[in-house]
Amino acid sequence: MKVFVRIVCALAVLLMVPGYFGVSAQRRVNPVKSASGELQGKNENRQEGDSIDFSKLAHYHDDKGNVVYVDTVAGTEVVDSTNLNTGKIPKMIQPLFYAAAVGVDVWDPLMRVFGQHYGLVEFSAELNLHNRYVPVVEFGLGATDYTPQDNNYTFKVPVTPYFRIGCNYNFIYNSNPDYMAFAGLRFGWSRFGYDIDDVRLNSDYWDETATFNVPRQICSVSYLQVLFGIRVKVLGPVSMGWNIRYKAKLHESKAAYGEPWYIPGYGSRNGAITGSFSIIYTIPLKKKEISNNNLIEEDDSTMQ
Amino acid sequence: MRGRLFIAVAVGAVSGAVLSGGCNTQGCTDNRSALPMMGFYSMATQNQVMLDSLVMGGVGAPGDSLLIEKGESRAWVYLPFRYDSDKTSFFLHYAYPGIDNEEMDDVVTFSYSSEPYFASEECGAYYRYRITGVEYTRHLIDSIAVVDSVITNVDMERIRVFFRISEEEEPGDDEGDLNEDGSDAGDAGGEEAGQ
Repeated sequence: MKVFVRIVCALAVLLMVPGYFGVSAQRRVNPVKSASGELQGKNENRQEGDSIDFSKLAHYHDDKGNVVYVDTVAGTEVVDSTNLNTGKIPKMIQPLFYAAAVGVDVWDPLMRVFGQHYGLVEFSAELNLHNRYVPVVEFGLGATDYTPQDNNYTFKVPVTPYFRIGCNYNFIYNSNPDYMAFAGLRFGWSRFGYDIDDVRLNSDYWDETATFNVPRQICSVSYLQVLFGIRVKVLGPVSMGWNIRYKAKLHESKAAYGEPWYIPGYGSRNGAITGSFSIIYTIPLKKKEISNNNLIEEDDSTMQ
Repeated sequence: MRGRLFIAVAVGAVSGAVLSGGCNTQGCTDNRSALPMMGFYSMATQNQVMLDSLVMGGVGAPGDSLLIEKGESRAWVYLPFRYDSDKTSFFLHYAYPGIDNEEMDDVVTFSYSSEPYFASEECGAYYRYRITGVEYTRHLIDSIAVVDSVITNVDMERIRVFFRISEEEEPGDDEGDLNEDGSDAGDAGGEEAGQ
């Protein structure tokens, strides 16, 4: 038995050793041309974000012009659904009545801290359409009672309402709705009365003084505002918005005894730039009609 | 969330500070009261003249204070109107050799109506005047023209007084400012006293 085993082992060694040395002696490296085409050896999804060059896949166009990819292994054919012209690809992913919002503009109260002498508060209501077009109505109360330290009068406007109507255009309507960057236009109107009281004149030459009140005047003003702003959601439905506004008067009624320096809603007649700083409460009206998940599911269903 | 809140508040605060600073007024660039400016002209040449020996003041001014004192060279003067009257008179004394006496003084009296007017936040309120008449003596004054009868705080010449004076004209100086501006002395004379 031992003899038999030794013989078998010897035969095995004899068979293996010549084969090894024979291959080693005959080893050659030859260029090999792959028969499977250009995709051989290329990993086109190596990096995150890479995509396959679909033009290299086997495909043909059907009679409707659709691209049909052919799985050359399984023999199945798949229509490229990403290029289907269904006519239903949405330009705006948010629904028409996307949200409503109400806001309070705290610009004037804040500016009063910094030395402004006019304005009270302002409210706004808006309807967000597709998160893109935002019609806005603004309503506010304006007033002033100002006696300049280095001048000779007291200018008064009682609490007076004013109105504006306009629209914003959100540039990032298909992005995260927590943020808005928009431009807008407003038409404003205000009708108000104003008094200039306690006017004190002093003539050094004649050594005379005079004190009088300018008769009360009623004025109506219409104006335009062009604005640019941003809005950021800060907590749940609460957002903060800031915008800068260029203003220009369209019409102002004639004033017999001098034009007012403060116009409710318009602000000081000096300068063309103003702003607003608002806290906004947003009320969602409808969820997204088309979400990214739905879009993916449609692709999957088509692929199947 | 805190980051968003901080950004929103910071942007608002910075912009508010910038805008509030940028909207500051630049001050009153006009007068703070309605002061009619009267210019001195030569009737012969229709040019504005510089008078170096004219003494001028308001009739009845306290302390006999003057608007132009002797020795000043002036081509114009502001005329402060009285608040508590609808007429204000000014005298013109000529301290030139030969006429330096009170008998040769001229007196100009302006009649006007006044109404309160608010100019602006910076310039304040004042009385705005409308000149309704001018009366004057004619010792050296030839005529007085009121260019604009509404006197506001805008700093511009409203009244021109033309004197019967002779001045040495320099060669080539026959075209004065008035002619260059296209103003017509005849029109100026047409708005004389009493109108």
